[in-house]
Amino acid sequence: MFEVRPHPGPRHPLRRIWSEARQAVHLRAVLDSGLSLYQALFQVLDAAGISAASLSLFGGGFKTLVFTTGAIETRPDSARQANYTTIRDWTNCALLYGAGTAGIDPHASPLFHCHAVFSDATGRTFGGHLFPEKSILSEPVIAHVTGHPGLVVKQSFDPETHHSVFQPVVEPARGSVDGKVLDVF
Amino acid sequence: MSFEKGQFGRVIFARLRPDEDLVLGIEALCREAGFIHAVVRGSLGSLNQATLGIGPRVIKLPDYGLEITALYGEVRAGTAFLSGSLVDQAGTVFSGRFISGGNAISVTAEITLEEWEAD
Repeated sequence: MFEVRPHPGPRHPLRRIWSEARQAVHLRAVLDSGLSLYQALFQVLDAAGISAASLSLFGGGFKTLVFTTGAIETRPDSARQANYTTIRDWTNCALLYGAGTAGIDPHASPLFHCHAVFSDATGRTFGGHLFPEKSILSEPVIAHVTGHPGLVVKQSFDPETHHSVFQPVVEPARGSVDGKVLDVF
Repeated sequence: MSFEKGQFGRVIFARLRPDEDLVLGIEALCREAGFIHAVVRGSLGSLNQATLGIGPRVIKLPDYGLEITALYGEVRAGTAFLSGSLVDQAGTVFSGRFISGGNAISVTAEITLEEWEAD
């Protein structure tokens, strides 16, 4: 058993941070086969004019599926408490279900964060964190999209965990300390 | 039998930071955003040493950095009822109800809540 490290950076005082839209935009989308999950998703979101969204995925499959999992960090050259494990490259898997967030990276390029569960040709079930640019659809995937009009969801480096994570950044984003709600700028 | 009619109202996209509890954190978000009822939309993240209910049984998963691969449920009059699945380092899937107070966020959770306004 390895010793559990604390997160490496200072503890941010706001433990919950959020931004609010007056009303969501809902889409039911078919993500085309033959494309990467990334291409297929942003083709839809671009056409719909959505730049920030939360998604539920089901059905379809992958010709190529690239994913990893999470675990406690044990490497001495990393300060993180938890980290990704080995990258796995599988073929011919069915997508059972998944969830994702679409937003932008620090350079304002579209970014999709996706976790999902699959089965392989033997019916064995497994799951993890996908690499959407490298995972190629063999059959169309259905996406139920909850779009956030007016909100910006942006990946940024988190000094507390040393991971780059999605955060709501549009003003007014809000946060809270011990139940007291604060505006965050 | 029972049902209610209503409509969806506001929507929030949230990040829960490390050590926030998944269930209590979602309840707090609703309280702070002024949602009486809400449904959970596509949400994901990671947990340390998750606690799942399967019928009357409660299991504790020992691992850190468990990936949340599904999160379904609602907040009803301030109380969250959530179920879903997690994946460990090996890619093995574990599923059940998320037990309040037993599911600390590992690195982050991206949570989307849509307000449900009953007629």
